[in-house]
This record gives sequence, structure tokens and C-alpha cells, in this order.
Amino acid sequence: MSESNKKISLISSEGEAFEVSEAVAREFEIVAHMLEDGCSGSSIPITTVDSNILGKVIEYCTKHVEVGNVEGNSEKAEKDLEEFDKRFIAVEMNTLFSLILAANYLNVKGLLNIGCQKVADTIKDMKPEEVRSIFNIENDYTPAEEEVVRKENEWAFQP
Amino acid sequence: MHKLKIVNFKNIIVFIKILLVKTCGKYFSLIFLIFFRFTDAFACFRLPLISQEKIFSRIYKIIQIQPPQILCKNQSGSVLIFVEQHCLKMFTEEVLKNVFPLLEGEDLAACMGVCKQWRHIAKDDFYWKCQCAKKWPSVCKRTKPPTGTYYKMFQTFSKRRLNRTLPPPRLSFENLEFFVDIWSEDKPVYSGLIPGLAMETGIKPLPSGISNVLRTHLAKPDYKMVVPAEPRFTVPLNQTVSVSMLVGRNDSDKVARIINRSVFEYIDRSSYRALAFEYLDLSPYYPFVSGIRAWVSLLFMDAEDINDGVLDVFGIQLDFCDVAETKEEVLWLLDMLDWK
Repeated sequence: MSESNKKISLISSEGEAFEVSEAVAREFEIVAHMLEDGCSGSSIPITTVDSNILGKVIEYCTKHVEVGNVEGNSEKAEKDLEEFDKRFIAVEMNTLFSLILAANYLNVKGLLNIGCQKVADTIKDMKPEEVRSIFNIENDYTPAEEEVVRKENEWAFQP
Repeated sequence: MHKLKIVNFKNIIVFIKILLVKTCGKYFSLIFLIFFRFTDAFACFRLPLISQEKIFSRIYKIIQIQPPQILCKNQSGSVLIFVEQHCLKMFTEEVLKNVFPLLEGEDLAACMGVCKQWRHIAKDDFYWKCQCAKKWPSVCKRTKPPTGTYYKMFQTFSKRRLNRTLPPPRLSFENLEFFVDIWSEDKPVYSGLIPGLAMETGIKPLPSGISNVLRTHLAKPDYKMVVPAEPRFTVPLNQTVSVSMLVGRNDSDKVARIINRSVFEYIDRSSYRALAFEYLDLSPYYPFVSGIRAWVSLLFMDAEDINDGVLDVFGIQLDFCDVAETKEEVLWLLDMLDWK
């Protein structure tokens, strides 16, 4: 009991501390490894993630740890969690990207998966120009190069 | 003092541009950038942070690195920001590497068109192996893709190819000549050795006195070979008129038959044409192709002669309207003939 009550502080890039239970912190695989490697101390700096994003990632992990702890995982709980994931990931692109980057860095598999799936769903059936505009990507092809690439991928746009 | 600062700022940029682009190129620029990022040397110019960032953004442009967004502000100096920016660039690649396996092949192909970085990542055959594994799991039982790359495999076979483009024909009209003979009963009324190029050119300009129906017909885009009947000849309606046509290749001394004395059985007065056809003799290399006809038409003038029972022929048309609608298709079809 005392184990799971242990608190750990995660420090965001701005220096803000987020106090979480060890179980939640262990959802961050990078933190779990640190703890296993005997990297003691109650505060762990997460220098590449800002407060806003770190707060969100913690919210995600907390929810998942809570649901995971419920005895006899009911179907309803699982559905709720799915709903939660859906709502959680319904954010604007910049935040989504930051979340994926954070999930990738902190190695939170579940969040990484739903984040990437969301990006994949967004890209689905889009033309290159549309992808560029929603992700704010500069087109660095010359018109000639673009034509070559278009020709090369023409097969994909046939019925 | 204030003015001097602005002049300085411009000078620095000009200096950087000349130094970087004209003399030293990309690598020096990178070293230059790292040096300034790590030493904070710009601090000696007492430039405000904003101006420093402007200079750096220009350098980024010169060395063609997308200046990535700053993930977080760091008060402890620009060194960390620089390092983080480059980590971010790597991370973006990381995101794509996680996203691409989740896409369908069509979407992955669209991603290649987004920008060079995306194309570079999406070109990795790993993602295409994922696509092939979804579509044909058996293919991945092999240690290597049967087509060299999985990309090629998926690109070639994932879709039914509807509008296949023909490879360039091996024949050209330059190397062809046509032997055309027309009989009225047993009397030859026309015989012409027609160079391929003349067949390709057609009748230009069309003589006056042609019906509009025929003009419209000749203007249609489906490919037909038309030559003027020179000299012009007439055929009486009540006689049996027949045609034979051979085609020769002046590059290999070979000849093939197109029509072996077929009769103009069908005279279409409303379209001013008389038509004859014959099934083509194709080379034994194409044993399963049959039923392709060669059509020869006599084109006649819109004149009162028709009522007198005489056709005034000004042109001869050859086409393979059953199957070949373009010049390339016609040349490929001729290529398939039984050349002897």
C-alpha cells in the first residue's frame, strides 16, 4: 500500500513541478527505467516537455492507471476509457504533435498509439496539398520535381 | 547610436551571406551557426534577442535547414534551444515513422508528394512491406520481395491498371509503305505505292465539294489513315469494286497483308463512303487474338453523279476502328501482323 502511495515530482521544462503517484509516473517508461536503474530522488526533470503538455500526459496516464486498478475490468469501463481517449486526442494539430513527441520521448505507448492513429486518420484520403496546409509544411519541391513525384504516384489515385 | 545599430545589423547579414554562400558553403555555415549558438557571440554586438533570432533564421534558410519551432523557452541560454531544435527535427521524423505504418498505401503515396523529408522517409521499403503484408501475406514469406522492392510490388499490382499507357511503338510510319490496288470487276482503277508518311499526313487541305458529313467524320479524333486518290477515279455503282492492301517495311524487307481483295459491299450514301473489311492475319506469336478487322473506305464527292450511278472517289481511308483509336495503337497493331 505504501508503495503505491509514494509521490514523485515531475518537473516540466519551465521548472513547474507536477506531483504524481509512482504508479502514474511508471506509465512513463522512461521514468520507470530511471526508477529501476536506481535513479532515486523524488523529483525527475522532464526538460523537453512544457507544463501544458506534461499536464495533459499526466492526465492521460492517471486516467489509465485508475481504470486499470478497478477490479474485474468491466466492459463499461473499457468503453469509457475509449471515450476518454477519443475526447483526449480531439485537440488541434500543434497540441497533437506536441503530445506525440512527448509520448515518444517519455515512451508512453498507449498515448503514442492513439496520437499516431489520429494523425493517420487525419491524413487519410488527403491530397499532398491538403496535408501541407494542415501541418503547415513548406513545399520544397520545384514544379518539375513535384510533377515527377506526382507521375510516380499516379497509380495510387486511380479508382 | 540607434541608427548605427541598424546599419550594423544589415552589414552583419550581408557579411554572413557573402561569407557563407559565396565562399564556404553549407558546412562552414553549419559550423558558424554552432559556434554562435554555443558561444553566444552575438551578445557582444548587444543585439536584442529578436534580432539574433532573425539572423539565425536567415542562416537556417541559407543552409536549408527548416528552423523547427522552439518546443520550450529556455532562460539558460541559446545553446540548449539549439540542441532542442535539432532534437525536435529528429522527433518529427520519429512521429512520421510511427504514423506511416498505420496508413493505407494510397495515403502513403500521397505523403510522398508533401515534401522532400516526407518522401525520403516514406520511400523506406519497410512501410511498403507493411502494405504488401496486409494485401498479400504470402509474399512476405519470401526473404526478399519478388520484384526487387516491396514498393514496386505494391505500386504495380495493388490496383487494376485501367488506362495503361502503351510503350512507344517499335514501328514508325517513316519505315512503312503501303501497296494499294483497287479493281472495278477485273479492271484496275487505282494502284498506288503510298509512303507511310503520306498515310500519316492525310488529305490537307480537303478539296472543295465534300459533304459536311464527311468533313465531320474526317475531323473526328479516332485515328485513321487517309490518302488522296491520285489520280482521282470513278467507279460505277453497278459493278463489283474490290481492294487489296499490303504493307511493307523498308527497314527489314518484310511485307504483311492487310486486305486480300475485299469487296466494297456496303455503300453508305448518307456518309459518302463505301466500305470494305477483312479480318487481319496476325503473327502466330499472338495466337489468342482474333476478330480484328481492317477497314478500307472509299471517300466520294458530294456530287450529282451519285444519282447517275457513278462514285467520284477523292480519297482512300484505312482504319482499325474495332480496336485501335490512336496512332500508337495503330502502329502496335501493324507490328502484330504476320510479317514475312
